[in-house]
Amino acid sequence: MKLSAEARDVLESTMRMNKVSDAEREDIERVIESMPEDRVLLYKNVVSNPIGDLPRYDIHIRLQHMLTFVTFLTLAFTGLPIAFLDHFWATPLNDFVGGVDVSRIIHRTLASVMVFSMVYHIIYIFWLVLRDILNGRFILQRTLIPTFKDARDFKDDMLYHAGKRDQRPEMDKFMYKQKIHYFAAAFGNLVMVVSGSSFLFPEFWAAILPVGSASYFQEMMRLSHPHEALLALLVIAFWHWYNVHLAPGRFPMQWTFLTGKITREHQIEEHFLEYLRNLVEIPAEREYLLDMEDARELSSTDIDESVVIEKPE
Amino acid sequence: MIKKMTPVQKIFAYATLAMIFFWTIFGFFTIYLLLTEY
Repeated sequence: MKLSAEARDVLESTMRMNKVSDAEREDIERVIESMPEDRVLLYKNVVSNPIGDLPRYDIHIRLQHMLTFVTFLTLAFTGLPIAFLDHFWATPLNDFVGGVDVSRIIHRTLASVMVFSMVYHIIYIFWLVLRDILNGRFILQRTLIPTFKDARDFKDDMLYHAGKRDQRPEMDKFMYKQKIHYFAAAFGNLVMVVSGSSFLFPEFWAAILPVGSASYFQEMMRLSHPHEALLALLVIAFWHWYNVHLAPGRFPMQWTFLTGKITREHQIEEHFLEYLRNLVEIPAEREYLLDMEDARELSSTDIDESVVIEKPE
Repeated sequence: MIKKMTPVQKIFAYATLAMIFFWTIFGFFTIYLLLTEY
């Protein structure tokens, strides 16, 4: 495979960063050389373990996700009947946990766990960035920070889905969709924490806001807390779960949130640049790829021009 | 190609799916709330 300039940059910088030896460099180049030009052929032919092959999330990130989603769902379950207290359906839901007073206590307790998870996440990612900068291993493109490339990837991916391109764009560890989703969740979290805290600590907010605007602020927060909650629940139920559970290739479940690993099929299709880093960092992956290409006669270096390789469905 | 899941993995995955379907119904419920309340 002839790498694009962008992919070549990623490969070179990863090899530099990992201080690979000349022999290893040769090995990596041989693997790249052998890859078929058509990436679809590659990701349709690799064999993946359903629970994941390649590292993606460490234990802290998985724990933060776990804390956030458990508290999120239970907050929604206790919060909606509080917000819609006089509705016919709210009474049985409140009664289910022992009355609206109990709902409120559970809601506030879980909220503090969610805030803890948020703080844990913020401290953790700052620490990760600091650690990587100090070790000279920080790569902006490998983080969730949006770049111009994401806009281009978005355009190219839409063209692919419209049938105007035959390959997905070469995306990094986090693709445009994940970045949008992450910042949407971060914004939502902030709105919920600020508005929720304004109900619990109105004096605090009144003390730091300009005189005269505290009551307007309270009214705005009263409106935004349930609205943002409904919005978040809709986004999770119809966007996030589609992408990680129902989308073709992910059904019935993507295991990354538990195992921290991504399937190589998924990595090659949607995160090709990260897959190149995997090839540099994981020698076993290079071996696997060469064996697979040999077994399936995919290697671009020994393709017999007279043999037509059919693309699998 | 993704290998077949083991029976235990399959049970786990489909049980998780069943749980999110419950919450998806909750999601539909929020649409009902939006349509009736606002």
